[in-house]
Amino acid sequence: MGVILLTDQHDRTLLALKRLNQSNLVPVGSPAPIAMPAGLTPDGQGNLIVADRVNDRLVIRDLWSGAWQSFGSRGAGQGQFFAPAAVAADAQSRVYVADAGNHRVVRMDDLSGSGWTTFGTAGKPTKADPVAEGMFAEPRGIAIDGLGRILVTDPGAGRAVRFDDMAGAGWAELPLPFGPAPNQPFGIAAGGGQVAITDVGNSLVHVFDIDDNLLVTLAGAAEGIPVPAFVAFDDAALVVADIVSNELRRYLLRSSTLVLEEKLRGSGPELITSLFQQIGGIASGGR
Amino acid sequence: MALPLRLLTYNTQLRSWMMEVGMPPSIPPVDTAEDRAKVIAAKVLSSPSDYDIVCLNEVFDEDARDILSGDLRSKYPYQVAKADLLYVRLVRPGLVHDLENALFDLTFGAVLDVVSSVLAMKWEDSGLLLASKWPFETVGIPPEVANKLGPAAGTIFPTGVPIVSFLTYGDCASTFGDCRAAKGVLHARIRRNPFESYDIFASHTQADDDKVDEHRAERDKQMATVWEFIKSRTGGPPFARPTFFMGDLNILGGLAEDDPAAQPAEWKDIFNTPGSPLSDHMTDLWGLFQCRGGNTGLNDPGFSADVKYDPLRQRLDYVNAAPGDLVSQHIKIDYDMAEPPVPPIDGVSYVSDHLPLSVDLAQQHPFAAPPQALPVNAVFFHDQQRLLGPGQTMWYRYDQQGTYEFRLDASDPSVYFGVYIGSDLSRPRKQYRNEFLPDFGIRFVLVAPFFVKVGNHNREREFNFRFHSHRHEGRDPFDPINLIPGVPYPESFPNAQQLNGNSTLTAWDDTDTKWFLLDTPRVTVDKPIRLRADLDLDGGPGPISLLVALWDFPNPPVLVGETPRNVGHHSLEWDARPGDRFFVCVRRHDPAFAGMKFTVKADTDLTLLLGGERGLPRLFCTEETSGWGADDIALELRADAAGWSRNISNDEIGDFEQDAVRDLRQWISQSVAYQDGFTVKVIEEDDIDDDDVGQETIPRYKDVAAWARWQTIHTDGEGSLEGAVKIDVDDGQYTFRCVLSRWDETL
Repeated sequence: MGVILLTDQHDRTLLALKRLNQSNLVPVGSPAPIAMPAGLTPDGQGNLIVADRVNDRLVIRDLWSGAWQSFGSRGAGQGQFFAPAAVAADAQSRVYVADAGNHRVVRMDDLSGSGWTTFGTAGKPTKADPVAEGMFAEPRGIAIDGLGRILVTDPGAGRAVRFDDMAGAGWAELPLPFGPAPNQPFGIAAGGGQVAITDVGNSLVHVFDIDDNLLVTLAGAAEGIPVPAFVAFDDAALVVADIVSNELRRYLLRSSTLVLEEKLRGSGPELITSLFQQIGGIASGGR
Repeated sequence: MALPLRLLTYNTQLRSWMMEVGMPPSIPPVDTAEDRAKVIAAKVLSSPSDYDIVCLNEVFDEDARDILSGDLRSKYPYQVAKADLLYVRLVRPGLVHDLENALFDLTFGAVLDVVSSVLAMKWEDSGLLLASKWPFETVGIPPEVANKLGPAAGTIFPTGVPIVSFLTYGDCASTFGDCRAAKGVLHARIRRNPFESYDIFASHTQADDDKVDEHRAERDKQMATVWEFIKSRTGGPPFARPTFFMGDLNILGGLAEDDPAAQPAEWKDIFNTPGSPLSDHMTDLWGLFQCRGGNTGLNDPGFSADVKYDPLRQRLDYVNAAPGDLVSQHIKIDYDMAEPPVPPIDGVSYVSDHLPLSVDLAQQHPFAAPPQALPVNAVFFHDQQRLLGPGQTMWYRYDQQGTYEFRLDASDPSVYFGVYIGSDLSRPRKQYRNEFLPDFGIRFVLVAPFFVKVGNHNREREFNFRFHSHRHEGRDPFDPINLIPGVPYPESFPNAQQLNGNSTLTAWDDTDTKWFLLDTPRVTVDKPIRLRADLDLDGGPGPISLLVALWDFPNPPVLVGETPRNVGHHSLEWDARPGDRFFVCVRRHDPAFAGMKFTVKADTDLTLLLGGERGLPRLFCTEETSGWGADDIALELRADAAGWSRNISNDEIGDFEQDAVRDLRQWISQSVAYQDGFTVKVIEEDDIDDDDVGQETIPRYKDVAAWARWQTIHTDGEGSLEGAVKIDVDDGQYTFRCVLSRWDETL
């Protein structure tokens, strides 16, 4: 079992825990110099990268030295972001940012911004253009799968998409099942040959294999987690964060079923002092 | 003698982030709680009402709670800042401490055991916050409590255990709504001085989602729980001290003497039916004391909340009392507290979706409250000198509409007066166009019944006063009766007696004339204002005529028109300019001076959309548009007259989620006049697609009731129409809520 990282937007903290047990919860450099910590990811180089939605930048914590640095400013040009929502890193430690307000994905080779590349323009599927290739309404989740493909959730466009590189090759829309309400794919994670996507519009969590076959769907409302906004893979387990019940849950995939292994509430009557109050993003921290 | 007491109850709508996220969610949600908490705290602290005890509902957001609790502490150092399933947060000078409810159950006795059955369900606390100027009464620490607290007992409870306890309701409805909050009832006994203490019960009960009575079954159980709790904590009835039960009870409120068939069933069963404990032993101060409706003339409905289902405005907030020696001098909506800051802070263009309810109590004394008011019928009324104790009020009641002057002579400027009509006990009427007669006082033009409140702002000293009133009788051109458009004025000529002689003011013989005045509002319009006067004589045609004359003082009046005598119905129509003043004269032409009864009425084609607190214009999101996130709304308002318009950006008004309401008073602070239509355009801004736009044009006053997009909510004695305009925006709907009238006494 690895480490789960999460951001708390209310307390502006970064937290880590190994089991979903309050005694295991530790702050990662508290307080964090982040106005609104959202999605986060380790980069494989000993850094933890967090999107700061309000200050339109990335905030980086060196996990070895404890030092903080930041990158970016508001805008639509190079080295700039507008309400960045999520971050991911690939096997080469390149950093990907769901730059929500600029309707694009950004990639940097490192935390100095070198190799700055962007992909995407404002738009969403219409009758005239149902594919709307290369367009994003508001990218909110980003992940890199085992084949290095870039996965992005775009709830404003009602879809999750995948493309092979920053030129958009191999553009495809992921086959999300339709629910009674419009799809709003939000959180996304990739790991162990699987991809997990949350549909906050229908309170669902879907798990696919690498070939887009749907393995299992978790009905969040029935489980008491009505807005499962974020997911992360932790070894063989799937960790789901619900932002209304304010819970973290760990599920194991067993025979096409997600079995609840453990859960942790961030607040509630049994907690005089909240552990966390507004989850802004979760990520796997590895072992 | 009981000292004056002021109470405030307010549902602040300070929902937490996770409550506001919603389903489908808006991430991040529209989060205005901290800004509004600062506004609410500032307003409570600076309120001229000088509240003594404040009970707030829906304080769920923790940052907002910290702001409220912290900011209020300077004046209200004793608080229950949080009441949750398992603990309460007590605040007193030098201490903020979370204490297990079990401690209080051990001290005062448990009423219900719901903890285990609801523990897993609760994501939020009760949202209750109580703040008091005075401390909580205490009792000695029981040994069990001392054992639980250990050595800390002396620090936490230096003078004993505060008489505070909280009980979560075991019944609720709505899996992801009410049931997730630990709603319940809070008790605190407040010790003001060695001789006076109060039992305060505060609660926020089960809400309905889509219709009245939807979750009545749960509320009935909650109210039963409340009563058991009240009995447990007070030992009564009878009650040993003034006892109050207040909050957003989510019960559609009625008025006691309204037609029983029209009274809301739930309210009637709980508050107005013998045998119901809250009916027998406590009093709903609004509907059962001050505004009993029916033929009492006190029929202000007391709306405190906007909702999306019928009826669109409801009285949901209450103060119930067993007041002891105290009397409720005035219970009212505190509109000033509800007014959003200008300019808006970060798009926060509202304070809450509820209105605050204020109660002013004092030792019972003569004429202390509107239902106990001294009736006044005389044309000239000079009251005896009276004494007002600290914080006391005295009320006068007038049952004849008309034009009045009032004068108050008092021994101190702390003594003031205000004038209220029976259909609106919260918003005082204003002086008529700054008019004033030196001998008689400040002029008001009023419908009946109306009430004059004389009050003493000073809560520590007593003062003398004398109150005078004068009613116009229409006996001469300088004693005219002002006509409110749409309001009939039944008047008469005396039998066998000439009313008056020739005034010589006019070019015609105006002997035996009853004088009325019709003013056109001082507004800017594009076209002439069409006016009309009608006269009907009781009993059919007779020797009477109707005259209209334009009076441009100091020039003599100029005749505009006159009707012939001996016709069944008299009517004149004419064009006017803004600010014109017309005499409307009814002249008797009977040398025998036979008595006559008649009714005169004026009308206008001008419509006024009332502004400020009188009109309370609001935009309400009945159905949020589908799609991701909150609705980014901008608003455009246009009146046809002389280019009045307001363009309100999204930055100013903010985003809307389902059931959101925004106060538009800062953009419509004065009444807006129009002659053809008032256009409301709601724009849902979209940075990808074209904006979604919904637009409606409100027709004139006389046509609006029949308009399909209009829903009348309420009418009042002045003929004002309160209503909602439905505006479709994409696949959502908004309502523009406003008041239309033909009358604004300030214009």
